[in-house]
Amino acid sequence: MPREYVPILTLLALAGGFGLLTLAATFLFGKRRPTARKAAAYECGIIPQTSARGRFSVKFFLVAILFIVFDVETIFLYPWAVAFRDLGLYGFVVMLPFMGLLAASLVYEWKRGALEWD
Amino acid sequence: MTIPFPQIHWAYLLPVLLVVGGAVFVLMWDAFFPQRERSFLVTLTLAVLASALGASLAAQPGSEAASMGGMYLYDGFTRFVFALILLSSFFSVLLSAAQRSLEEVPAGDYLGLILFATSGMMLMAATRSLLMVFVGLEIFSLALYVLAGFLRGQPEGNEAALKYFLLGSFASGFLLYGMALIFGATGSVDLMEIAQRLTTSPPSRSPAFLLGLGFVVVGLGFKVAAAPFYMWTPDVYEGSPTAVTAFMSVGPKVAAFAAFFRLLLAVGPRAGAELDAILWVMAVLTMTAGNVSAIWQSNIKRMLAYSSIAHAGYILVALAAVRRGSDLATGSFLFYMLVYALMNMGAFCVVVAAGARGEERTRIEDYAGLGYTRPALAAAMALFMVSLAGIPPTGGFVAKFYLFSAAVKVGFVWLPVIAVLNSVVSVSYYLRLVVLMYMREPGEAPARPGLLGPGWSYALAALVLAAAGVLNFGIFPSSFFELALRSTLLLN
Amino acid sequence: MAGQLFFYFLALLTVAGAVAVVALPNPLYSVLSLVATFLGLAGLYLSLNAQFVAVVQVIVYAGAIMMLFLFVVMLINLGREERQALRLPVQKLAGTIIGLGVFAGLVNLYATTPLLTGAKGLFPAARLAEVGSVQAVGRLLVTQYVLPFQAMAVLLFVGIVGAVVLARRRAR
Repeated sequence: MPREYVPILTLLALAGGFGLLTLAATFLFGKRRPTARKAAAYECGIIPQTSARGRFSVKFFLVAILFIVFDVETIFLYPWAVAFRDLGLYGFVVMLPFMGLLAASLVYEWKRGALEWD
Repeated sequence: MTIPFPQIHWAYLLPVLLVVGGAVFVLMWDAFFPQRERSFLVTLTLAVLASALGASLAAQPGSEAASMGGMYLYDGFTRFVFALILLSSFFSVLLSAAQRSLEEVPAGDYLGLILFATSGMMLMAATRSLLMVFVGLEIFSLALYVLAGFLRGQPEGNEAALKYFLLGSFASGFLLYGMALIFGATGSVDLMEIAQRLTTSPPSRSPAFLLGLGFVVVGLGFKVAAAPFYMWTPDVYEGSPTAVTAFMSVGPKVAAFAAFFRLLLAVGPRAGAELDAILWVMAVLTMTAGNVSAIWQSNIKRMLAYSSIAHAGYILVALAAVRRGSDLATGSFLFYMLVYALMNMGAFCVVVAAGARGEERTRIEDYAGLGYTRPALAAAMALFMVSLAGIPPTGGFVAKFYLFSAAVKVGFVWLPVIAVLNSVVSVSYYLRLVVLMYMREPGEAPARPGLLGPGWSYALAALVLAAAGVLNFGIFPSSFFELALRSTLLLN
Repeated sequence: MAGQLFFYFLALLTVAGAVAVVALPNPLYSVLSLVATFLGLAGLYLSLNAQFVAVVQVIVYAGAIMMLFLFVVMLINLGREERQALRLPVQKLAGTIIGLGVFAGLVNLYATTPLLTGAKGLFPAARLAEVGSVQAVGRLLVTQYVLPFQAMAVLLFVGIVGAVVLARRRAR
């Protein structure tokens, strides 16, 4: 059991505990007088136009997929970057084809208009 | 501490690099110049595949076959399998260029995906590592899911893509879990090391290892459409564009069977008799289910789907023989795949060439009287059907003969008998088509004008190539069979 | 003692999240419970000295994959009536029985099979603690596993092409 995570855990417990505590306190001690306006969805002060339960456009999905692909790419970059000092020139060269292919894929989706919204 | 650059045999890696590079180039070209002639991209793709074929035939496997710690393995087996995969991709590009419904799709995306799928198959076949088997499989599977639904306006295509994707991902899960269990039991993903651990220590009998092996068999069984994991095949084959179906029926099977072979050669002799029984039952179920179901089909793509299932069953016979340590079985597997690729591609090419813009002729009834309306096409179809049924003097007969005699030599008795009986059953539906083409009057007059699109030359090339191959291997099989036999030197 | 407590906390989080995924009626809540499961798993990986796997678990699974799941739920966005029509009692029962069977089988498997405990291989636990698992992974990734690493770039490219092709606008 690695000890160095204890501070992080403490922080997590404090942050989560504060949130829970606040919620519990308002639940216990607060008075509830709901009106239609108060019960409406809070959209940063802007009056909501429609129900938030509408369907998403499929365009979001494309963005999500592209995000995942590049997210996975960063997963490969991360250990490589941590080990980079040890790897030297080899480490640099070995990343070139990988990054080259992914850069090509980025150019491809750009040219195919996958990054345009309309 | 710096790391020295590893020794890489570029000549061995060149076929894969050519295909990947070609895929990127084709995709980029179409993204940058989408309005240009598509025939340029088709020609370029064919050239890439041909040069990769040339590069793999030119690279003689030597003593340095395994590079990058066995991740990439270039032996005689790899070389032959590369040729098979590249040949099937070559054919499917020809078919795609001939198919009229594919004229409107973005050529770069389509051809790029075909090339990427090809590279995945090659990587899967040319490795000793289960890890590369999985990565290669995922590369070509992902590409094929998309290709299956490439004609997005067609509901059947969408159905095919969705079914293939959902079931395929599930099968991939089995495969990966099985590999993880094998790794847990033996401590390696390298087939050679796994084989060594199995001989020196007892995990070959451990439940984790056997369960892992079973899961891997399930995953690979799905990809080669072996019983009882073949249910997706007819729907997916029917709904996909015909050129893609042709590709699916050969390329992935070659790659998955190649990985299956390497696995069995490594762990087979030590994995016990259960595997023998499993392969036996799988082979019998697969060929019987394929042949019996094919009889009742009224759609030619579904019939060919069940026919390809039946052929997977025959190949499983070779797999069972390999488990018993037969070299002949590996050679006859390679030869069988070669002939199968040609005759299957040929049959699908006839389906493509018989179609017209907007209406594909996929009902078997559509082929009535084809012998009178389009005699050359009907003659080619008859040849491929005769070969698929395994009747001399075609390659299909010789291939089956080698395959079943390899099974007999390692002591199987009932398996080859059942396989021969199955071949007899299969004659009924293959020859039904031939009878329909020659003994029946054509139905309503087919729309003659515009039957052959601008891609007719591609269809012609594919037909001539396939027919010549099927006849050549039927009449002069020995030189290529010798080559297949010599290609079985697997490094283990 | 603290380590054990930590383990039980994470195990409880993981299992409770997983149960909530299948038990909750609203798919959005299911997705959010899966996040809890994934975070619990990440914690378990950390306690096993597998920092890299923990990071992947958080960034890829709890982050990206869960976001994708949410998008799919929002994309389909079934109403309450449609969801009610999707109740499948037979499948639920069959799923429960098969799931319990698989669970029993796996418990039996791990109880009877001596799995490797980390003594073998290039990076036994002591050495791993010395260099750090992320660094070890990075090193292996570009040396022993360089080919799968490069092949992953091809796989990701295929994924991008597939997404662009399938989501492209009808007219081109």
